[in-house]
Amino acid sequence: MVKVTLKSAEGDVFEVDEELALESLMVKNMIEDVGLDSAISLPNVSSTILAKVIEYIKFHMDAQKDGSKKTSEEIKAFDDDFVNVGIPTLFEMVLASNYLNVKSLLSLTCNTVANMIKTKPPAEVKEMFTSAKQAKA
Amino acid sequence: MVESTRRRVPDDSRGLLCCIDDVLEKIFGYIKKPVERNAISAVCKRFHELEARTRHHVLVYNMYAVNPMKLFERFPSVRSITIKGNPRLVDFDILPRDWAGHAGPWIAAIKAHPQLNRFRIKRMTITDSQIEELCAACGPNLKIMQFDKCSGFSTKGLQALAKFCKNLTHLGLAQSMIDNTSDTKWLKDLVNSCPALEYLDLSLIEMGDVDEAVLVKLAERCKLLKLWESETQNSERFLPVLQKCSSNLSDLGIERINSNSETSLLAKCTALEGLSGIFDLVDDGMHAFMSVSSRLTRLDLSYSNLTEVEIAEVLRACPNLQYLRVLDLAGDHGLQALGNSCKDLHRLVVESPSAIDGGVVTHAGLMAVAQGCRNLQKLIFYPSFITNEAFYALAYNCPNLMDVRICLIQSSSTGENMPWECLDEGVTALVRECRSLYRLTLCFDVQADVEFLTDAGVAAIGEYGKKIRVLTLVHCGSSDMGLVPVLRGCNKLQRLEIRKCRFGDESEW
Repeated sequence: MVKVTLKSAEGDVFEVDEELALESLMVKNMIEDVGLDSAISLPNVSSTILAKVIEYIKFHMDAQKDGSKKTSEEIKAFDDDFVNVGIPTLFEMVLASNYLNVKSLLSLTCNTVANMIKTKPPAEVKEMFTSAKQAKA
Repeated sequence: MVESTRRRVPDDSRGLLCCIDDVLEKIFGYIKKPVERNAISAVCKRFHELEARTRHHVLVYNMYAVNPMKLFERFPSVRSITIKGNPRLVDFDILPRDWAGHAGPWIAAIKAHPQLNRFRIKRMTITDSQIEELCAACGPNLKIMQFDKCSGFSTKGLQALAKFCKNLTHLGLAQSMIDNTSDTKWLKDLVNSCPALEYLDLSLIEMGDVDEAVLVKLAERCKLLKLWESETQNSERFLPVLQKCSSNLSDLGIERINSNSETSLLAKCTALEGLSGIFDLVDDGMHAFMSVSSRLTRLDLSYSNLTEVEIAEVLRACPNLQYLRVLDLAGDHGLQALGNSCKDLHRLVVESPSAIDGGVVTHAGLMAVAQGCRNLQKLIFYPSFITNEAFYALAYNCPNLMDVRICLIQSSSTGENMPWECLDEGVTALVRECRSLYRLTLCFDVQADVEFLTDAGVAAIGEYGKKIRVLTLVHCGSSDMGLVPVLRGCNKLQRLEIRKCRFGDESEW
């Protein structure tokens, strides 16, 4: 199995199967452009978030494989649990999945944010977005 | 070049407010309801602009307050528009016909937006030439068209649908006043030139003789088909519909079911869930009805002449009903059957026929419904008599009520001799317990020697009705002491209708 090396914003190195890396269209394009010889640098994604993205892709790849015994309820439970994180982390996952171009994760995280917004009055939505900013800054 | 603008902002100002438009648009894409869209557009200027740019569906709730041109300027990507025209009052001839609600300015604005695929209007006047302009402008993009209770047009205008809108899937003209309906060529042309047509609602539209071939085509392909007008018509004329209706059909509107042979025809419609029209169930009609009743979720008997006993029998056979519309001919007896059998009822409309002196429904029937149908969300009810107890039954049994309209009516069998009581406590319980209530109508316009709702009762609406957006009060309260708390408390209020109430100018009414 060919391996791909991904480098996070902090410079941490993640070695993953090529098949998994290709799930990110952004990484796929990079591999097509520069090949597999050097590590692929992802300056916009922190180590914590990159680890989570890899965990997500791995779970769904396994679930789709023949012989996987995962039921749709189990997959849904994984997804629900996966996005059950604080707002700053959730926002970072939205941005990372957009940057890495992982369609299914982008849909999942955007939908989660949309559901949070829907139930809140405008002032709280504004606060939600700005406080996430402060937490990071 | 695009890439450079798509790069994310520097790390020190992260947060989604600073992220690129694509991502926010993606998030907004999951927010569909107009109310929710309005809320996000109030977050900040950027959200406002982005939301406007990406809104596909617009609901115009109060057309007098909106300039059509400005609306399309703000929402350039609109694909679907629903416009509510005149208030419900026009149905009761309280407002002069043709008072307002003209479609002209809207059609003029839409002409510059041919991408429109859904056009729905209610209680508006639209002319033949306006329909033609609309169809010519949007042409094959138009898939769904609905003119509910509209007027001002004829079958000549409808001819434009067949000419321009080849991809039409849905046409609703329910209860519109259409001229020259003896000419049925428009319908024939429509069926022949719109192969995708699946929903056709012609409820209460008088029609001339429609070719059998047209009826057969409609029956074979439609999922929703409502063809009924008045009870005087020949009961056999829509028989081809029953003979040919397919297993796709989920909603059928027909004038009569009256023979045993129709039992097997109806039983073929395995997807049938909704039935409307049905003036009577003579001969073996009841038998035929019973063959499908257990799968019905929607039933509209608002033009039927069934008796109280027949309605009770019908309702006992419909355990899965979610939506029911009946006349007060159902009586308390019919409503008791409803409460006993239809545990999953969501919406109930019990109207009173305006011209004829119909039946009588009272607090007793309402209490039976409240105790049996605990999932009730919407209730429109015209009782001849009501008590606090009935309001308590609603308040404590039906927590999901969102829309409650109770209009007392003067009836020959009830009146001043009834033991009327002040309903302050019942109404207070209702608005206090039903937290989702967004629409409330209390119409107490009958002669009685009691004040149905005092200022204290009206003030309670202001205290508890925090989600109320539409409020109608008729003959309620006695001074500003009631109305002022409503205006202070109901801060979501969008529409307020008050009639025969002593409000304003220090209540010198």
